[in-house]
Amino acid sequence: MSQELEASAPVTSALSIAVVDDDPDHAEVLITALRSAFRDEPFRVRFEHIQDAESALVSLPKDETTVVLLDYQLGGPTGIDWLPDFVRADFGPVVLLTSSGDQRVAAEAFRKGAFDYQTKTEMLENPELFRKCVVESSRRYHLSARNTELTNSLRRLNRNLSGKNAELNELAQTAERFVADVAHEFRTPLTVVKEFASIINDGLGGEVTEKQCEFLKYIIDAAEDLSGLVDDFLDSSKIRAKTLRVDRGPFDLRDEMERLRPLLEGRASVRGVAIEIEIAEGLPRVFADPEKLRRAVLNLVVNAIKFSPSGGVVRIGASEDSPGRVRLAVSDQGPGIDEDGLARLFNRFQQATQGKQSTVKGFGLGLSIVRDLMDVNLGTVDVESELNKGSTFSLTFPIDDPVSIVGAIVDCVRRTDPTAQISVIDVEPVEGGTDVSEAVAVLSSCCRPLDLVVPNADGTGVLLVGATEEPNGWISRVREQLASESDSTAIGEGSLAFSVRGSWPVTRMPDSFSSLFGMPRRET
Amino acid sequence: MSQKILLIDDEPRITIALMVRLEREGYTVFHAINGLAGVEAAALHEPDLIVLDVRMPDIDGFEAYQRIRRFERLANVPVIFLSANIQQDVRQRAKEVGAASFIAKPFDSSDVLGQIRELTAHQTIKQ
Repeated sequence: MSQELEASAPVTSALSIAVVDDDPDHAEVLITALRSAFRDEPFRVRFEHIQDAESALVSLPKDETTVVLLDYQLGGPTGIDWLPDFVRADFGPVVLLTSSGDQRVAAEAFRKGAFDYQTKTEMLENPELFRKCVVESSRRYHLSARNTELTNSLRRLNRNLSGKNAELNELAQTAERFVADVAHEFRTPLTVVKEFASIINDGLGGEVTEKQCEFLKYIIDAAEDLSGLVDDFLDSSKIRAKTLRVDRGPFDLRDEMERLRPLLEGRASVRGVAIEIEIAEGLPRVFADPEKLRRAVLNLVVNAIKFSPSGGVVRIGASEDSPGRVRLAVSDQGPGIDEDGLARLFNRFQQATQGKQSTVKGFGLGLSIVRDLMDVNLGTVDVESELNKGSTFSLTFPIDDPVSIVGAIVDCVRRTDPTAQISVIDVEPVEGGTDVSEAVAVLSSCCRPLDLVVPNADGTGVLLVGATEEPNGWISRVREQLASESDSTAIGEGSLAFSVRGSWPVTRMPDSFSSLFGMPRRET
Repeated sequence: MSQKILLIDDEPRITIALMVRLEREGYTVFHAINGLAGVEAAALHEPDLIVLDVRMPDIDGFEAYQRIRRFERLANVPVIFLSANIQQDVRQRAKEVGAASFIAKPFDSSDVLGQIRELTAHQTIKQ
């Protein structure tokens, strides 16, 4: 037993036992009993009797080996009264001794910080128990001291980490500002190059030959390339920093594509490639960030143009591929990509090396950005390719319909984290829900309150689905859809209740979802 | 009398490029090399449209915009912001202060010309 105690106790080379008792005879008896009990102890044990608490408080050393045996009866104030002073002085563990057991005194003793409470008679009857009580108190005292030390050092570490974290955040922000500045610095000279090439090309600087016109178009095309790269670079940096602002809403895809047409045709004509755009009749309005979608399409088309043989055609088609989902496909008549290339295709900065296309630069960054841009558009990118026939890159994204949008969000969340469990809740009926309304206020600035993620009061996350247009119509449809494909359970009450697939920890949300759902970064 | 366009941009090469295009279209073009000069030029020439760069060395485009708007006779002149900073917040801010348009650099000159034509035509009708 003693071995066991010793083993788990901190290394103790000496023990100093101070008996604080106003009765010298009592003290003498106690010390004698303890001395015999400690007889076989391998380390040195010192005994000391101090007559009154006051002198004990003055004379006791704070050497971490002391155990104070404080008598309850001390003439004037009791041991209980003195306890706080001893605890504060922190000589070591204090064991309160009384002549007779008293539950209330015991409780009071522990409350005031005694390590143990014993009756003298019991201790004298069983010196071995007494010994154990002293050793155990000392052990626990040391453990608790070490515990405090560890806690403090953890706190210190934590503070350091917080500091480092803040530093890193600042660095990240500096880096982002730097990228934004660099992009800015690139764009101005690019504009100058492009503009003057095009001014000369248009004959505003005098007559130009056909050959000169052709060469000027190469300059303009290259400037466009560079400008696209600058945009990709900036987007990529923002996506990684999760600060990309997303402004999703409903719009007409046909209008958007027509707006893009002159640019695409300009890019294609330089390489003798034709552009065909075919948007299915009656295509519903889509739900996306038009600017981001435009960038994704531009990336794919420019890519397709590069892979096309002269005289080839790049086809852009859009239709409602499956209910609620639009598929926008960009096909080229290039040499196609083999399986290995396909596998590597969507890895960041990776070039699909297939024969001579390996010389075509800017492939990897562009496509990984397309994928990221489609993430924020609640959509996907995929590719089909046949060697010597060509490749088709497809973007899918939701139409402007709540069921389709929620479905897309759910898919998106699962892609980001397959284990994420999703709650869907209607935001409209929340009354006095400070968190929710605050979140909506923060978020409504950049997207409509239809697809937002905010923390739940119980620490779970909710996906907010606003019921701003038809309070009872589509929510039930969404609920049905979600319910049919999962073991969903209801959360909330009454009109708040909605379909939920469990919940996910709130702490993980800001990272995985801030960019996904167009949440602006909150100042912390 | 031809319509007057004021270009405010600290990058003279951009200004020249736009001037070449606009003069060919028959506009009278004035230009200023920084924000303060731009505000003065606006007060002096009372242009029919202003193209305003956002980032300039003295006062930025938004500050210049506010100062220009303080002149009663310039309170409604259409302003097109031009910026190499295509960040959403700049675009958003341009919209909020009531700019007629926001064009990102590098711009497509036919797009810029188209917008200017539209805005100035609109103004003629109004007058």
